[in-house]
Amino acid sequence: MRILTVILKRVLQLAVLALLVTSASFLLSSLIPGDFFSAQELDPTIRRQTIDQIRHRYGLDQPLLVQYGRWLGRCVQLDLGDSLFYQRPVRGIVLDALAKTLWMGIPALLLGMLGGIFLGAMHALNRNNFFGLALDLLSTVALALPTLVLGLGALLLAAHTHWFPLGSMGSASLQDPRFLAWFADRIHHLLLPVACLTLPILAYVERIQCAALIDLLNAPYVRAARARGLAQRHIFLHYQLRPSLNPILSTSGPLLGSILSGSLVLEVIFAWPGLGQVTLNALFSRDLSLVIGCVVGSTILLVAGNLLADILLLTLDPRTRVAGGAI
Amino acid sequence: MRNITRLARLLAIPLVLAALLSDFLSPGAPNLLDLSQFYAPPSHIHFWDARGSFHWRPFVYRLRLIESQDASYQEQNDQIFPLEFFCEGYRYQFLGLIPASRHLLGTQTAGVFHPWGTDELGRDVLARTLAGARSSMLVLLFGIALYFTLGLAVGAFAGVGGGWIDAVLMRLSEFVLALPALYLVLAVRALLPSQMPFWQTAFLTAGTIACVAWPPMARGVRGLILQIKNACYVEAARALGASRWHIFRRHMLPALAPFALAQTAVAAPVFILGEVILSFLNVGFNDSGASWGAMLHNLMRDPRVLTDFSWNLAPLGFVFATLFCLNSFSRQLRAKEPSQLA
Amino acid sequence: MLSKSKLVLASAICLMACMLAPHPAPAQQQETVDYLIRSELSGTRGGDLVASISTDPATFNPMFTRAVANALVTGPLSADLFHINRTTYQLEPSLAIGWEVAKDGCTYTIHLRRGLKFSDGSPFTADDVVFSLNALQDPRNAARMADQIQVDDKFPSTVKVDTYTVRFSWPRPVGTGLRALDSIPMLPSNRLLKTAQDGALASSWGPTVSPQEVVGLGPFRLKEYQRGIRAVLERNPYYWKKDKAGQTLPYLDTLTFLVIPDRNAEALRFQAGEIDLLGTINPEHYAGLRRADSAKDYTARDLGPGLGMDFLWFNLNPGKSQSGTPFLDPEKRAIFEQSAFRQAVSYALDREAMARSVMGGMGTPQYGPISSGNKVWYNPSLRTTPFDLKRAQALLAQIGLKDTDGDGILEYGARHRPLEVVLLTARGNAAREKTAEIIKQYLAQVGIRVNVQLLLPNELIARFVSTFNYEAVLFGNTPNDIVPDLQADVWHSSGQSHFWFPSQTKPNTQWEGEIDSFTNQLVRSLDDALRKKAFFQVQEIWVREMPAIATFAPNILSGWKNTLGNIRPSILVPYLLWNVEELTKRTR
Repeated sequence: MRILTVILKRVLQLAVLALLVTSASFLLSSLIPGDFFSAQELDPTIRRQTIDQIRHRYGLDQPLLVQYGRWLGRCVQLDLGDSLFYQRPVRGIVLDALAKTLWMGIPALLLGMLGGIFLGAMHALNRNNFFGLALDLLSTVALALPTLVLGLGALLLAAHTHWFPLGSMGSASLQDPRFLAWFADRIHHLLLPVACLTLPILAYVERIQCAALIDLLNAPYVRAARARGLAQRHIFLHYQLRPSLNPILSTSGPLLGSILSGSLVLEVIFAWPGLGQVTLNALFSRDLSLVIGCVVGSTILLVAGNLLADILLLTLDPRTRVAGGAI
Repeated sequence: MRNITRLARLLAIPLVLAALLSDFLSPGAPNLLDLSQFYAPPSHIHFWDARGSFHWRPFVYRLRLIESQDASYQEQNDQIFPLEFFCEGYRYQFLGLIPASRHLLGTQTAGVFHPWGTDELGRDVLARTLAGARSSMLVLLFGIALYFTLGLAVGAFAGVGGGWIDAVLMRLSEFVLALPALYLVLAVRALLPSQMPFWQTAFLTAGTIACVAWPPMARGVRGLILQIKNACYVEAARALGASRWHIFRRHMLPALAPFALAQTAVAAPVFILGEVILSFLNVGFNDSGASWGAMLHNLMRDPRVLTDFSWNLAPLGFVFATLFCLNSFSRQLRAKEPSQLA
Repeated sequence: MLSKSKLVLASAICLMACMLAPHPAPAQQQETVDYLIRSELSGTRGGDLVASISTDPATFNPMFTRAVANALVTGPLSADLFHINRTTYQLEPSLAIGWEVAKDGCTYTIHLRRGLKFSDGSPFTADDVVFSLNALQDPRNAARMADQIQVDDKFPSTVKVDTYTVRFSWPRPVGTGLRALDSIPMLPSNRLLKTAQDGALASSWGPTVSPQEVVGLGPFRLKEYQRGIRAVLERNPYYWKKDKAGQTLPYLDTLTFLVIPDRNAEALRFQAGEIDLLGTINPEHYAGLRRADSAKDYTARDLGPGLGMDFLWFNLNPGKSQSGTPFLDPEKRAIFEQSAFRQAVSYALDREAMARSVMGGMGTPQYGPISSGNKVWYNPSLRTTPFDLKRAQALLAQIGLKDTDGDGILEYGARHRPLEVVLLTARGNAAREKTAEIIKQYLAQVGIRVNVQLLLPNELIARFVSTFNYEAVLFGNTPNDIVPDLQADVWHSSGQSHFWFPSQTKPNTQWEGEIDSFTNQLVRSLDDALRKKAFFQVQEIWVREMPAIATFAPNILSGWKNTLGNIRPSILVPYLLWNVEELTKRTR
């Protein structure tokens, strides 16, 4: 039952957010002169009438309110309009681009969280020896390295050694239609961007996990369990690890946000054609429907991610199912 | 851990000094172009000249452009330019107030000594990096001030007000949290008109980022207030007839302070990073002024910066150092918090 | 003795035999096909050429492409009636075999090649020509190319005379003549007639079209397209050009366009050998490529200045906005309107240094309205304004601008305000942003304080094309052909593209009136010598008055693999692929 309420809440949130965000974008866009076709006005071989005709075809000559109304109407049917730059429906472009961003984002998230949980646990258990200190320093350093710095450094590395490809999603010379070869090539291109995106997540999760576990190391019920004679390993896995996941899942919202912004920067650096690149192109060319589509797309991604985290939290941590719980 | 914080403190001092004294430490003006010295490598400091004689005062040679296609230079041995301390150079305003013209290290003739080389238009990289420190610090200061006030105010209203104010503000904060922050800031920035003077641009950058970053602070403050609300001493104060504002100021604020400070320190890097990323993506506010992000942006346009002209990557180190210090301070502040509030 | 019945049987058998025997085929009607024979051309067939485009094609209909990247893909799919040879700049017959022009100079009778077939085997006739040219003029389609053939806002009329002859007439004589028909593709009327009647032509043949649907007369036809990855074109078996040995062109088996949005990645892949040619190379990549080219198997060449360049111009528009405020401060405008001011600005810029630092030396300083790369139309004796700070300062002093308070900035007007100019330019173009910074510094040296503002490109264009509220702009574009008639709208004071003060009802200054009369001579006369003389005059006046101050023209840098043959690089789009049907590739 709680899961249902959570889902409903998030869906409602998404709807309101999307509405707010798109209105704001339309409004902002009306503040400055120029639209997608302004660039055509520069060419002296094109008459003004032709450009006006083109504008009329796309409905750009109507007042903004009318355009917004039409857009809303189409939106209800899940049709986000057509992109002027790519000449294709926005929905298709955004889904495509989202998928490409997720190619980078999901491995980074999984690796980061799993690795972070693991390292955090190791750190908590080895707090007082060299290993723990080293992890401490490493995580501080890693947290200070934003994806921008990491990405540029990785590109530098790729340029000097030649072990990694310098960006983009796949090699052009790959004529081999076999899935395995294609997949291996894709992984090769993913190595550096995913590594750059994973590192901050790893450090962040490790930090939280470590702190959470340390809190639980001497919790009363743990001491009771030890007194009862249960094995250390059993205690650790069943009494400490699961509850320590709570803070991580609670903070996974902002984590997703940082993945989105990190991947945007990395997409620019590694020429990865994901949502970030598409958004930037749309912004530069004043392709309004595409800009809005991208923002809505990323909002959906975030809300979906938060929803997933909420559901995971509910299933994994029974404490949250009690009335008045953490959510 | 203590070593790390000590290291961070050691790093922070020169960083802040660099930001404050940027003009004093730069041998050349950050925005002065020199088209005969674009992508010039860092100046070599010599003690022995071409004829083999030793000079007590170190000196540099002027660089001559041999090939403009790949920006290769050759030192001209005919004239030496000795380095001097507290050298006369371009005019600036020390700490923004006192007009001065002395620089820490330089040569009598301008435009010869470039300790960290030059960028694509012949501007001194050291000068630009330090000037970028100045604008980053400014954005940081504005940012944390805005963040602190906004977060504290919203959280206070929500917590103290209760009822529907609380509900509305918390829903609002949830919404803002669910927004794709960078995308929104980008869209706002790209759709807003452009140039403004230096202070205004810094303020606007800080403001935009603060507007999407405030929720964690507000929610934390509100949570704390809810906890404190039912404490005995608050009840006692209420019984004595104290107004809500008085209770907040005298009793709640001191309890909130550690958390608020810690949270601000946690959020501080976002402002530096946000400004750097915006400039890096070429939608920054600070157009012809020096900014770390703008200097790094050039790297994406000209890949030779990675391989042949890597002295232009100096801002990377500064960004890292700043974030390292801020993170360490935030950890230190969090460690001081009572554990129930963590 | 044969009985009657046996006779009947025999004759019946004979008749049957005659009927069943194979008839000799009737004399076949020999169909003449007017192939275009390139008698100086030879080569071996085979090979796949790999090129790159920066964005996915938005359409495969060659008449409605908007982006240059799109045109690269649709170019080889179609053919035009006449084509400009991109190295000699001469108009050559393409699908047309010849033409005559009537005495009045307005009407052209165009003879088409006979027996040509589209890539699906259907015949090419005058119907297709009439259909294509009418589709161009249909306002429902809003084709960009349409304005290429319109004159004085009127379209020419196209009339079919017979199956292989078309009559084409303009309302008045046009100097460029049939050059306007370059790159106007001939579309198949039998396939697209219905679509055109429904007004849906502009959205036909979109990215999801099946390759067999895309039919044209070009050397290649569409084979497959994978969005975001590549578009592959294969040889058109019905192509109508032959080489010296009678082999049907094109030589290449396939033409592959890889979608590579990032310029850096493109250069790297060229260097790695994944792409066979690069039409334009950025200066920062060129040095690295050049350094390696002798060791490697490709050639990188600097073709000299291209046709595109950036101009700095000041707003000379005395009009007012809708709310009644003038577009810019009238006192400032009064300064801008003095040609001595603009001359001074021109003298204050060191174009050599600009080209050196912004383009790594691969740019050529320019002073006039067209680039010196346009060897046919550039006035060789054009005066230039070399870098001379003292001259600039003297000119500024001449018009009364003095620095009275010693702050290094000149004052102007009754209230002695400092002369500050806001210079707008577009984000996203590194060279232009750098040029703006350089201009700022040079003008500071003569006492003009410049504030550079970077705007999004479309926003900037709207500012100087619609709202006119600006002081100075740094921008430029690249003409597609060498004839200056294409930019008549810029030279003529009534033109919408006369950027500093567009759409004038009558010339605002005497020199603009002079340019107007020379421009009219240029576009109306059919005498090439007269046209050239007129335009040389326009250039002289331009350098004297400097309505827009040219900076430098970036050189065109191209590179191609040494396994490619018959490469004839050009400074006109599409640089290396304009003669794609002639290119060969050595396959080892």
